[in-house]
Amino acid sequence: MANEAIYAWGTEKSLEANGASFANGAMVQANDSSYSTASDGSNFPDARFVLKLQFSTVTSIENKVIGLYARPLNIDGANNAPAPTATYLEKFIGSFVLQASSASTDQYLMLIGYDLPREAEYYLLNNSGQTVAAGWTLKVTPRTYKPA
Amino acid sequence: MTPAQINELRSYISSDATLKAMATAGQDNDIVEEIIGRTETVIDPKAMIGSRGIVAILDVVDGEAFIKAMEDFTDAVLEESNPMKPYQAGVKRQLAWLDRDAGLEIGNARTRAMLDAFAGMGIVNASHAGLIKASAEKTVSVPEAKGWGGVSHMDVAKAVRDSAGNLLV
Repeated sequence: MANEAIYAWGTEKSLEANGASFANGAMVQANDSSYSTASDGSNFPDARFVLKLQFSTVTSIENKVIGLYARPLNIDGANNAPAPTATYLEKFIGSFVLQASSASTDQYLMLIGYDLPREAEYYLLNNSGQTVAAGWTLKVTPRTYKPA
Repeated sequence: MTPAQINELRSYISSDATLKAMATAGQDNDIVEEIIGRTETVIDPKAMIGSRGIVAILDVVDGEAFIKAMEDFTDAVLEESNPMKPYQAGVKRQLAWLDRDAGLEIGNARTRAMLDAFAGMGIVNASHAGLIKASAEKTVSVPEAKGWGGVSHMDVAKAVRDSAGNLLV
């Protein structure tokens, strides 16, 4: 059929290629790169985020989450929103829900971010109860709808 | 948890080698599971016991003997120098409550100390006194014993690390 809505995907971008370990309760930045829906995402409003991570100790991590947060940039001239911290939880994008994986085994988790900031840095909040091991990655792929 | 409870949790973890090692290793979930698996014995300060309760614990024969021993103590002629003499009048009055629903405050520290003194002086049977005191005791999880309600992995995170990730225990 014609004109039904279908997905359109943009080019994947790496936001973090080799993240340092971070403890339960900590907020860390995927600091290799920020993401702009305009310059990176072809103005697509949404995006798929994929997190790869592992834990040395996996006790009771199942169904706990790693939160994804955005820090909008250049929202008033060159002024940025405050960076999220472990106690300042703005701007929440979504949760990566953890599986009870084996210790030191990668798990790949996905979420869709909707109506993303035009330009933002992205951060992860560890709500797993265990330390995320070094070597985690975060990638983003722009997504929108288009007519078939 | 309140900030004060977080401080209590931090002290509890700091003083325990097993928990401290888990905190150093970042194993917050393991700390939660260890703490909620531990128990402490607490005394209910509002616990009361009457003569029916004493008989239920010690049975009819020993229960009667226990109460009779207390009554005999109140009727005994004691030297002025006897350290238990000041207790006679008060115990006699309290024994009147045994047959009423109110009973003795067996969770009260002073009442328990008095029973210990009676047992130490052979006025009542020491093991019977222990059983009656135990009726005010219960074994609960550490979070319940401490009044924390519960402990989550995020409570542990706040207790063991500062916002920069530095270890606090």
